[in-house]
Amino acid sequence: MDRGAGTIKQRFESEAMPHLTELLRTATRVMGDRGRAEDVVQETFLQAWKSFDRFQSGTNCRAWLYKILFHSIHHYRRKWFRLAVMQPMDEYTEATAAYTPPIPELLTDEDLLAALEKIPREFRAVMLLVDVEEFAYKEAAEILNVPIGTVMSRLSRGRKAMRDLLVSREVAR
Amino acid sequence: MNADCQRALLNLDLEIDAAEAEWQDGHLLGCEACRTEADRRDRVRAGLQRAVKSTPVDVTFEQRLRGSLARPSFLRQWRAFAAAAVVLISAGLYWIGPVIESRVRESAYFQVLPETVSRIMRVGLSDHVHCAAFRKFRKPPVAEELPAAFRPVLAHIPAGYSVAAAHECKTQGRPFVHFVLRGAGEKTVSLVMARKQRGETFANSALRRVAGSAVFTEDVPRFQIAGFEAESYLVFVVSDMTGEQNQQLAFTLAGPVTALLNRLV
Repeated sequence: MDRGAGTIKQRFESEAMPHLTELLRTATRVMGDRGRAEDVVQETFLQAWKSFDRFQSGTNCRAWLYKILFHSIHHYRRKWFRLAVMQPMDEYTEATAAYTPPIPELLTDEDLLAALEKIPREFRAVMLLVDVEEFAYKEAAEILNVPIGTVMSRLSRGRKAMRDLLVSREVAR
Repeated sequence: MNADCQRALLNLDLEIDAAEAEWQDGHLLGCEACRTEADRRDRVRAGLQRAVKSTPVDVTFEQRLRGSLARPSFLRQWRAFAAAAVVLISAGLYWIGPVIESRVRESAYFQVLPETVSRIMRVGLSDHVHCAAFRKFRKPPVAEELPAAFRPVLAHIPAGYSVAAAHECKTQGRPFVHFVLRGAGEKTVSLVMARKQRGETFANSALRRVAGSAVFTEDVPRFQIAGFEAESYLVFVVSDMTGEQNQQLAFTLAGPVTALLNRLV
């Protein structure tokens, strides 16, 4: 960090670096692969560092980092595989939206993470932002660059899929 | 479940204003079923948060990242230039060479392709020859990054084969969705999908139908090819397996692939 301005370095240290671990955890859950997650988080922090002199102190650094993170994830995937746009999302939703099953009483971390892993990536990303990292819907919409209505519908569908998966896992025991 | 319960359950997934929150609190106070459901959902959310946040991370990553950030920018730039130069030179040796070789072999293949090969089979054949037959794939996709919609289809890939590449591509100006499978001995299988163009169908062709099914085949040099169609797509299985194996694979894939393609917009 040789940017000359010690204050920038200090600000980056105090405002950006504390979010490293949570970004890495989120990226790992979204990408499903630790190595690729490290690639995008490294890219995120390099980008953030390069443009940190333009970042306004006092605004939401965490949300800004997440926006860069999801941009990096999107770019990383788009480089070599763009077929996801063809997923018949609505049909998936219809198939899972009709019924609310009871959620098992005992939920282990393993159950929850295994279920999360099976949820379509678009839904999973919103769940990670809203349910895990507690971003407001508006912030999640800005991070993912989608309308707020899309955030709400993906969240609802993701949560529903999660409940279904937890029930089916319980039934399978 | 009455209308109030439906409203309350719907609210659980929404950001609601103060007035609606007041109504929601009132409903939950008086409705045990909804309260129980809200508690369960809160428990899942809290559990998910705990599970994700307690996942261990590689502590050396922060050190490596700090090392990367700490490099002076001129050094980073110098390294970037040096890396770019190495990449360019390596690309010449590592990528461009095989690509040129692949293009030469592709061109040679089509020069000797008999004119009697049907136009419709040339669609799938062209993409297989362009993208798969003579190409090396160095970084296969991880299962997680394959589109979920295609997983039921990929469940039918032959034993011993794995996905070497999956991409959207363009050959002779026409877009394709292309899965390339590789097996032992560099055996290659392409599953090629292309939107139909005007009048394209196997139905009225003079091609051989496989065992009375909707799968068609034709003799082409070097490869085995079989095709079938969905409402808006042509699908081809092209490989260097035996003719029987290729037809059997096309036959196996026809159901799930057609069902999937017919659901796409």
